Amino acid sequence: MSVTLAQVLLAGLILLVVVYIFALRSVSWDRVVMLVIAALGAVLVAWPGLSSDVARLVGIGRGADLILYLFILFCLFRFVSIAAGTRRLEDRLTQIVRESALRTARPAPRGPRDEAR
Amino acid sequence: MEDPEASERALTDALAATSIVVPAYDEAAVIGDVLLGLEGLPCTVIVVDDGSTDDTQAVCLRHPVAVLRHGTNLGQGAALQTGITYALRETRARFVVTFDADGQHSAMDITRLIERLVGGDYDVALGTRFARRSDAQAIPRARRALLRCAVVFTRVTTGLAVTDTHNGLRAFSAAAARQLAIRHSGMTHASEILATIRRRRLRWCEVPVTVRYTEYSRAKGQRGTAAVDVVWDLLTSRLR
Repeated sequence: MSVTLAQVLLAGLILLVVVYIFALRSVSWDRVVMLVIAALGAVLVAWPGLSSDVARLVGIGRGADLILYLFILFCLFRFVSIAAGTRRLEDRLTQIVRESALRTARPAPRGPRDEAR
Repeated sequence: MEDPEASERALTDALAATSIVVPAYDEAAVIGDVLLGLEGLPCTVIVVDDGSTDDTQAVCLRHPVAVLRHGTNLGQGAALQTGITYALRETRARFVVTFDADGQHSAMDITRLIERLVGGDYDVALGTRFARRSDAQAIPRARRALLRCAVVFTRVTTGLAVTDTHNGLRAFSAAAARQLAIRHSGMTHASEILATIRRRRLRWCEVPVTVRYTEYSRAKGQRGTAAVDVVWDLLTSRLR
């Protein structure tokens, strides 16, 4: 089994996504990544032949395949950022519910035991 | 050397300054008995009704306990944290105990947990059902296997040599309880508490406790697949 340039590049990209997820993530960086990907999409639309040229260069057969691979990586990235967003939302929900529970608590009634003390 | 009467008095004082947090979700059928069982102790009892859809809250209000209610179901970890926050803020507790609402635990064991903390040698006392052979044998076989796995997993991930990781009966000194910031709403809080003990270098010990397995508690208890949830939670916990 020989390793193609494309495999090395894709493995590198996956690694990059994983490192990003666990070490670098922040809401603003997520947005930067989104913008970069959107710009990339615009470039591919503007120069339709480009994807095929790049694909051939790195050893992937067709431009469509290259885009598919990148799309999968993009989905992975989006899944993570959405999951993180949901978690932040849950944290806030917890805070609100807890705050209201603490405020509306019925204190333990003072029994005869306390009076005796 | 110790004066037994003095240590008896110290224990009674400690129990009077203990708050017991009972997280409850849809436990109307049994929580009344659980609270009755706790009434023999001089402790303050705090029930956190975690958005139950049955009469849990109404039942609790009939007992001399503090009652807090989550407007929606958040999970046991969240309920515990709410109760602990309340205990520290409102009851000036010297000790905080966590106690399950499904009737699994025995009120008698609370005294034994507090006993270990009174001297100040430990910050946390954890209940374990694996210290005594008879307790361990009372655990259904499949559950025992699952718990053993949980113990191995926890030892690897937190480095804490506990024998029982998911026992809901624990006691904390107020200072230790203040270190807790449970963020995992579900069952993962058990691992989270141990991780906090490790990180904050809290002095902990284990105390043998009895866990009763009734038809009810078995039906209410965690399904085996909850273990997968715990692993998943820990893996994705860094996503914020």
